[in-house]
Amino acid sequence: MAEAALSLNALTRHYGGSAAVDGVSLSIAPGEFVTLLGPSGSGKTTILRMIAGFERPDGGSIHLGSRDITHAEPERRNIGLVFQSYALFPHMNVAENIAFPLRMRGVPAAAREAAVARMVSMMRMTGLERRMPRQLSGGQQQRVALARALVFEPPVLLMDEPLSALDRQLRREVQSEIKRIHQSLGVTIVFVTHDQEEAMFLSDRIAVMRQGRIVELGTPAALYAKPASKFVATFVGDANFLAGTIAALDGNVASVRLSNGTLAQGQAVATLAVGQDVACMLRPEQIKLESGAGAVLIGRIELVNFLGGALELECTTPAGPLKIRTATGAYATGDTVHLGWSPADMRIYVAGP
Amino acid sequence: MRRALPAGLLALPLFLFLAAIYAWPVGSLLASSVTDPSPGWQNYRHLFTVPVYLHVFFNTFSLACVVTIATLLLAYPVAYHLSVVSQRQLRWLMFFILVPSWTSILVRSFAWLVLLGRRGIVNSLLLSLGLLHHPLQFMFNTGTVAFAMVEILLPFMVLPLYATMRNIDLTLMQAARGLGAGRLQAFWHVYLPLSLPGLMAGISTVFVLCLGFFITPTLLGGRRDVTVTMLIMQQFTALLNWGFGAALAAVLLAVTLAVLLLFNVVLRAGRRVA
Repeated sequence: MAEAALSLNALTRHYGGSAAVDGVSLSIAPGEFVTLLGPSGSGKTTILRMIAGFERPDGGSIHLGSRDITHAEPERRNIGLVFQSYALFPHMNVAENIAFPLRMRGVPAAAREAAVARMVSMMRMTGLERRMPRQLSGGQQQRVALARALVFEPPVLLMDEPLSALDRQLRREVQSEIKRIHQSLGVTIVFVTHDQEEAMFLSDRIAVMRQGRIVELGTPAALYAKPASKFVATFVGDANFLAGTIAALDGNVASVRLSNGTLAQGQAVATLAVGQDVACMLRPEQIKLESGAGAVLIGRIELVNFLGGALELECTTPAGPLKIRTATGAYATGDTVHLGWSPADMRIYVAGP
Repeated sequence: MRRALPAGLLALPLFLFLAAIYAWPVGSLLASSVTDPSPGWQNYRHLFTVPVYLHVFFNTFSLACVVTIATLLLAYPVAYHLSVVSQRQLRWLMFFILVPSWTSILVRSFAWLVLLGRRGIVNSLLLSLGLLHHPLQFMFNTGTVAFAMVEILLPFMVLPLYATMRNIDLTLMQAARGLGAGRLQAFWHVYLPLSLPGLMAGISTVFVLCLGFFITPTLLGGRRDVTVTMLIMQQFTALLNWGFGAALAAVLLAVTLAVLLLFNVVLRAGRRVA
C-alpha cells in the first residue's frame, strides 16, 4: 500500500477533565474521501481543528505524508480548509479571496491570475470575479470557499460541515459538485458532518465517532449492511429495533424470543448468551410484505408515507413498531399486513444504548 | 415622498434650534472676520504674513498629530482585548475606561498639576527617596501637554475601535492562517483592513478634539506651547480684536474640514488598493 496522505496516531485532546478526542488513529490514503461522522460533541470537529493546527493535541501525532506536522504552525501545514461559515474575507472580492493563499506564498501576479481564472471556471463562477462575498448566494459563497482552499493545490482538504447552511435542494447540488471536484482533482478530503445521508453519498470511507473515539470505520456499504454496533446501526441509515431475549444459539445464528413470544432467527453480532436481552435490527427495505406463509409478524399500517420512488409504511406489531420501505403498491392506513424477513438480514446486538 | 415628509417635519424643531443658537451666531462671527474693524481681507492678510501665527498653526497641528498617533497605538491593543474578553470582564474594563471620561477635563488637567508640579507628588516622592536632589521640571512643556491629552482622549479612540472590532469574525484570522498567512500577515491583510472604519472614526474624532483643546495646553503648557484656541481666546478676551479672532477661527475650521476630507479620500483609496 502506498504511503498514507494523512495519518493520525493516538490523537488525544482534553477539555478540562474530559477527553474530547480520545486516542484516535486513522490512516487516509492519497485521493481518498474520508468522512468523520458523529453527533455533536463526538470530537469530529476537534480532530479537524487539530489537523488544521488551530488546536494542540495533548497526545499523539499527525503526519502529512511523511512529515510530522503535530506541532507545526497552521500556515506551515499546506492544508486546505473550508469552514462551516465559509470565512470568506468580506473586504476582498471573489478573485482576491481565491488569490489570497497564492499571495501569501509569494506566487507572482501572472501565475496567480491564471490559477484564479482556472478555479473560477472550474467552480462555474465566470463573470462573478469582482463580486464581494456579501453579494453572493450561499451556494456561491460555498464555491468560493472551496476554490480558495484548493487553489494552492494542497495534498489534503479539510471540510467542516460545509453544507449545513444550505437548503436541501442546494445541498444535493453542492454535494455532487464536491464529488465531481474530488474525482477530477484527486485531492484527499477529510469531511466532517453529522448528516449520515451526506456521509454515505460522498465518502469512500466513513469513520463513525462517538464520545471522542472512532467506533467503526468502513465503506458506506459495509457500515450500512453490517454495522458492528447498535450505535452505528442507528446512526448510519434507518433502522428498526425489536427487543427480545436469546432463546437458543447455534454459532452465529441466534433464535430470539421477541416481546410477544414469537421466535425469530437472526445473526448474532456480539458474543451473546442464552437468556440475554438483545435488540434485533432490521433495515426498512429488508422487511418483506408476505402473503401469509413466510410471515413472522402480523402488523397494522398506521401511516403511509409517499417517498416518490418508494412507499414507507409505519406499522404496529405485537413485537413493537416497524418501518417498512417497499416499491409502490396499494396500501392504506388500517390495513393488516403479514411481515417477514430473511434470517440473514436480522442483526442481533446487545440491548442498551 | 408622502411618508418621508412627517419624519422631516419631526426634525424641524432641532433644525430651527441649531439655526438660531449655532449657525446664525457662528456665521455672523465668521463674517466679522471680513467686516471688523473695516470691510476687507486685511485680517487674513495679517494672519498669513506674520510668521508667528503660522507657527502657532503648525504647532497646533503637529501636537494633534502626535497625540492622535500615540492615542491610536495605545488604544488599538486595548480595544482588541475588549473585543475578545468575556461579558463580565468587559463590563469592568468599560467601567474603568469610562469613569475618567465622566470627570471634567479641568479637574483632570489640574490633577496632572498636583501630580507633576514642582512640589507635586512625583517630585516629593523622588526627593524623599533620595533619587533626586533638586525637583525636576515636569511641567510647562509640550511633552506634558501631549501626555495629558493622550490620557484624556483615549476613550474617544478605544470606543469606536472596540465597536468595529467586536464585529470582526475571528474565524477569518484562522482562515488566513490556514491559507498560509503568518500571524503578522493575517493581521495586516485581514484584521487591520476590517478594523479600518473604527480606526478612521477614532483618528478623526481624536484629531478634531485635539485641535480644539484649550484647557489642558493652557494649564500644563509652557510659553512656547501656544495653540490656535489660546490665540483665539486672547484675541477675543484680552485684545478685543474680534475681527482677527474670527479670522483665526475661520482658518482653523477650514483646515479641520480639509483634514477630515483628506482622511476620507485616503480611506477610500486605501480600501480600493486593499
